[in-house]
Amino acid sequence: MKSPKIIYLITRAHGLKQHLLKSEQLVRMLRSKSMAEVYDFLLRTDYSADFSKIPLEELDVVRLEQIFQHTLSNRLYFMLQMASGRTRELLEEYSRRIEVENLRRIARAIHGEKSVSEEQLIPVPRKYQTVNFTALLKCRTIREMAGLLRESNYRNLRDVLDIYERTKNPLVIEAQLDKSAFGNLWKKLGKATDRDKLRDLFGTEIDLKNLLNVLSLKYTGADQEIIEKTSINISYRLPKTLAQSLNGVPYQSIPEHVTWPSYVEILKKAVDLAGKGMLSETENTFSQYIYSYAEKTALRNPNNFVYVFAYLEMCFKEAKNMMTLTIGKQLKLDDEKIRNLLLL
Amino acid sequence: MAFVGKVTATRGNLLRLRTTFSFVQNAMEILKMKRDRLAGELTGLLGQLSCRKEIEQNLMEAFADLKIAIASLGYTTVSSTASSVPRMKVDTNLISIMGVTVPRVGTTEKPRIDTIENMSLHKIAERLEGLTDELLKMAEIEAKVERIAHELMTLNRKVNALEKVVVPAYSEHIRYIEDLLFDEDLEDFSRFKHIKVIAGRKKT
Repeated sequence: MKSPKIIYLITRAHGLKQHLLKSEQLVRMLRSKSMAEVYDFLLRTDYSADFSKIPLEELDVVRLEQIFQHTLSNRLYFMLQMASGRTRELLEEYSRRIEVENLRRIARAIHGEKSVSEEQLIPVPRKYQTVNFTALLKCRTIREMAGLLRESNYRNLRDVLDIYERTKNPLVIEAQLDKSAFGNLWKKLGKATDRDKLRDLFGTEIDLKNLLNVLSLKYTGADQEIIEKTSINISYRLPKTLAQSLNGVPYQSIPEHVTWPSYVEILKKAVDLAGKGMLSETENTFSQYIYSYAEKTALRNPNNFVYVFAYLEMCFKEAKNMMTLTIGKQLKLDDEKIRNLLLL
Repeated sequence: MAFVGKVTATRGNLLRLRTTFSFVQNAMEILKMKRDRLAGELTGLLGQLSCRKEIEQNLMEAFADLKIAIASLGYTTVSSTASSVPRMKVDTNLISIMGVTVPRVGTTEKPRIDTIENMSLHKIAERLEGLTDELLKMAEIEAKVERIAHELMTLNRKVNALEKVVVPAYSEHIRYIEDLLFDEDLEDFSRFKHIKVIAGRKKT
């Protein structure tokens, strides 16, 4: 028997899911002849509040992205504020991915000796922030950043400082942030309601993230050490030593070293697309799978707690699709090209 | 004549004019040699400039790929990933080609693109890295062409002035003085002869 709080959350997730745009609506927007038509369409959706504030002429790719990220952040934290107790803790850990993305952006800028402003970060309401972004934005070195994060969930960033300083590659820092976020989420699943279903959803996501990481780094010719250090040390269906076992294996042969049938299928498709030079589509293969998996999970478990997370995954999918569609239209890309990039 | 100015037709002036004339002729020959050398250099550089269209085409293609990556990943992600790549460092020196100072551009520190994990962005960065090198080379060539062409234009004007104005003026002036001196010599010779005849007559 589920607690009323969880039933309430599931019910709200069902209601909120109705606000998400359907594939047909995306296709309709895709067929629009101009950005003005897309703009008019969006004024009749959940995005109207943000779009009505900006005249069409002032819309650019940065503004468009900010709007969709703002809406995504609102959707995520709206769900969080309705939760309490362990459910809330789990949702908080899930929401850390936004915080991690912001930290990643800061780390990249510090490494490249560039500056990053608060507007370039995804908005996170102050009460849900576990780190001081204002102070982090002023950091000059990664060591200084790690020092500021020593009392946070990302304290283990210090463990990879030596590797970072030796390799001069911020990917190890980014991976460590991911490891912290996914590690804490994985730990919280231990006592969660619908634990197995949640483990299945997040485990698949972590596996696919690891596979994409290995494939990308192999494709770009990264060192084996970087490949190993950037893999998340949690595995669901993949062996923990996957990165090590792929030492010396070219990216084309990765599918032969994976046993789980659906992963093999995705990898084969991804390797094929990468071979054809369709790299954006290659990366989208993984996102497409995880979002489809979330949709299937939602369909199979409409009355389970996992539905809430499946809904949140769909929010991420919509944000990505909306960004692709509107930015694609704004940059005057071919409809066919935009369609290939959409996760329908 | 106007170029050389008013010079008295004396032997001393003739000698001085001849020295200057020989100096001017030598200078003209040297300038002609410099002009030919620079023209040769320019012809070689103009051949290399034909790559510009290809570079522009490649840049447009890379830009089209970048637009796709921005649509797929979002502008902030792309700019954030780009921010992880430290700035490339370029060094410029000035070298001299036949007295014309031209810039030489060299990359001292290439951007490290292995900090980019994303496949499509890595590919674009790789392409742009190569194109940046070519663009720098092209900028160097264009600067060379511009400076050499400017120098060539000035040089041509100088050679033309020497060839068409200075040298003819000097040679004309020298010829004029030579003619005058010859006439004077002839007059003196006739006068001496005449005096000699008169002096002979008086003796007899």
